[in-house]
Amino acid sequence: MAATDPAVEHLAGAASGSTVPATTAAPVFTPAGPRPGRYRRGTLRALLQHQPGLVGLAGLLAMAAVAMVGPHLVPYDPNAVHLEAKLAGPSAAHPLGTDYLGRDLLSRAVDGAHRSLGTAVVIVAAVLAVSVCLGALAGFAGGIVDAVIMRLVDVKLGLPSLVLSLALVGALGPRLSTLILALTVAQSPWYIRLVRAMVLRERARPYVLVARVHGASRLAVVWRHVLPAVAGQLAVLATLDLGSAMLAVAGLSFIGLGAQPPDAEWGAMLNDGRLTFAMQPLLMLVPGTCIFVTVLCANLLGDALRDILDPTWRGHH
Amino acid sequence: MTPFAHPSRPALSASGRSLRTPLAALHHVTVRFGRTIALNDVTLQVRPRERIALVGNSGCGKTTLLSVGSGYRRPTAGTVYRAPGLRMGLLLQDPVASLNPGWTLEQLVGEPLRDLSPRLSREARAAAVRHALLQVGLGSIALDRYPAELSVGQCQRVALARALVANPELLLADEPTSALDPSVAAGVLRLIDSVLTATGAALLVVSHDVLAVAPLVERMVVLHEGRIVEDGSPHELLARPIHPVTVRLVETARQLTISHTPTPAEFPICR
Amino acid sequence: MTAALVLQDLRVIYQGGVQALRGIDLVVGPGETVAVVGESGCGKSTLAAAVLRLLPPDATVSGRVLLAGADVYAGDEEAARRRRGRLAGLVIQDPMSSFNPVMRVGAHIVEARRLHDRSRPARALWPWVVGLLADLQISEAGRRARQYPHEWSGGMLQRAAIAAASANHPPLLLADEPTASLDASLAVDVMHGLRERQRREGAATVLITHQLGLAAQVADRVAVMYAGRIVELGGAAQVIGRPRHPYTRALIAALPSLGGGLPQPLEGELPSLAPPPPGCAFAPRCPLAIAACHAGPPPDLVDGVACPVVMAPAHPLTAELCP
Repeated sequence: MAATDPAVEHLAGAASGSTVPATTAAPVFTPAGPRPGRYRRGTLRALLQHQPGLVGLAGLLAMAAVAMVGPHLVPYDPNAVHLEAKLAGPSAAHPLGTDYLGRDLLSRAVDGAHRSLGTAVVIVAAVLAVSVCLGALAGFAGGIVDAVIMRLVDVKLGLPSLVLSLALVGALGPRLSTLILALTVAQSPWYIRLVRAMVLRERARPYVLVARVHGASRLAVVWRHVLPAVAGQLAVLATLDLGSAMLAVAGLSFIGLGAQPPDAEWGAMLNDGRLTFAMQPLLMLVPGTCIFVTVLCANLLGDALRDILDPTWRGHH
Repeated sequence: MTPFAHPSRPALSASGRSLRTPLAALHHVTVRFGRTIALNDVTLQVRPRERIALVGNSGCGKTTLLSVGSGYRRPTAGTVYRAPGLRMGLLLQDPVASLNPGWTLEQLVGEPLRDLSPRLSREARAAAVRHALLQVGLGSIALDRYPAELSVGQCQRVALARALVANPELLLADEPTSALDPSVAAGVLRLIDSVLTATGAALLVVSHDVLAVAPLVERMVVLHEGRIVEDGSPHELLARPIHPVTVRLVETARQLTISHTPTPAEFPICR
Repeated sequence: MTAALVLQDLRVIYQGGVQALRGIDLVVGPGETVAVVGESGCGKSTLAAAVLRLLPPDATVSGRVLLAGADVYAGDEEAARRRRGRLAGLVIQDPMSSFNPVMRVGAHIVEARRLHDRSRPARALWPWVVGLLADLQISEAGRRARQYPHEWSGGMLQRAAIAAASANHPPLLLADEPTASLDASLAVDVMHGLRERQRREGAATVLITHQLGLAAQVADRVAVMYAGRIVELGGAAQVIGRPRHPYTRALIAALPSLGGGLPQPLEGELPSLAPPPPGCAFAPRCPLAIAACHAGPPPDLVDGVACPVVMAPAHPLTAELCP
């Protein structure tokens, strides 16, 4: 059986049986342009054929596995201090060496995974939850509700995120949970606006109007047409934002506002390794590489999802 | 047989309603958008099995009338009546935009049944979908195709099948053939005609092309700047238009028509 | 005088193997209006793009295109750009898309002129623009010229688009479905606009449309296209009043008419053009098709009609049909 998606065949102009469309490849003047398409049947298949995306997916899954299972499999307690072996290079006992307190770097790197990646995931999930609720509310309710929500969003967007984060941390104390709150508040307004715009656009689709006249309730239309469309687009954005959330967590922890010692977290580990970089570069290189690889995988996956949902791309592949 | 004859009507409509009770009625309806008046004190009734065309130039209010009649838009003044339990079907101008591109044909055509006949089993629904597609000439098409794989004309047929699948008593159509090539449009018009004759549903069709829609209906309502200016049989309106707007409409249509239409009988087989 | 447009064996193949144009030969004389009619997918928009050298870069073009004697495909992109406004003007289907929404209509037309003719400053050209619009039957031309596109109706905008395209008096005007998105009365206005322009400029026009009624009113000659080839070519009165090719006859039978019943549809679909069928592309849908029609090669125009069945009753091919 041919592996190509029938939609791809159509866009490439190949003969596909008796239902070849009357318009062949779109010349420059066609006002209609490529038709929108979300080919769910082919999404998973398309993802598996998208090589960079596959790499990204595999990488993220691997990191997630490490984050969840790794801490139980590490050779040492990540916080255990072995001052007699401090700043040691890679050896049989410590495959990646130790830090300035003699803690095993491999164990700490693995332990840090669930803090760095997990925190980012929690932040993205929280942002999605808040923005879907408020954005959808604004988009559907309209009127006063919409106006109030959007003015709150405008206010928040007027405040610089870093300053706000610092203020929150100062008020509530530097902890990972404070970080989550600060970054969620920082990112939500942008997403609320986006969700609202998507809801407004999907509500205005002709097929929504047709469904209503054919007897569908407002709720039915939202469930069948609006939410799936919004969810698809949000999935792309959220995946791409996973990377920047991770970087934000790492960055704020780097300056001491997130995970507190002795907890292992890649950003904080970067900070710890600064002073002893000349003596033991691995202390920065290892967490740095972990951050870099994870963010790269998230971006590859997000790009792949965006490509897959874009019909013009699918036409050429 | 004149082109505008309609099939003889039985005493009851398709769903058993008395033919004297209107399916839908607008009573002194006015619709305002800000300062613009789209409909101005319009009164109109649609009876069972009746076929009405709303014609006029762009901006005359015909689409607004349709949206008020379908319940999509509420009037600024006046009342709209719809028979209790009235089932309607809607056909829009842009066939591609009116189909959710991420849904299969089965999901698209079967959607109205999920709301109007929720107790139907999945198999029964699939059978109804098959039957509706057969009625529109797409009987052999695979149900798991997506709209992007179909031509524009086929998309409009799918939209028509969706509009008819739940056996509506009233079909509303907003410029159903304006976006189609003339030869494809002719097919869709014939389809609408045959299906309406078979099911006995009423028709309210909006069109800026008077000639295209004239053979399909028995009553034509001309709108201009939100008001009804003339109302009569297509035959009367085309042959003896009274209101200046109607006169202009017919004259314009005449200018863009080809005067001689060769019928199939003239097709030469042997010279 | 040189012909406004010469197409010699023009062939266009898109990326992916779709043969959108399969050997177009057409000559548009100076001052002549030729309508190119056909339905979606017949290649008429590709034709317009090919004439203006606006095809996607990965399309393969062969054959010759001469615009007022100049070879369109000679030289680089910059040379083509200079030629475009000077030698050919373009009017597209959606009038709103032709105009910059934040630019006054009059200013837009002035800019169209100044792209190729900088001899006079913009201010000095304003009276010229107002005069132009008045000639096109646009009332209160002075006030209208200062308005923005959204304040104009579609039909008026399209007439302004014709004016903008003619600003540099190009020998050829290409109109690609100028009335498709307009209702009948606006379409008639545009039609008058085209006629007015013909009268004033005396320049040639290629009108691409699927609306045969419009073609009949405006064109001197009509070319009917199907699946990338011209199947009938002749005077407008002849092609539309006494059509000979089965496809042309089917097209006309599908049109609504005064006092007629429901028009006759044309069943079937356009064939795939990647690759195209070996014989006549219309054969699967043609009521007159015989076995020889399906075999190759596709028929050429003979006396303006590409159908041996209909044109040569004494031809051995028709012996099958008429014993």
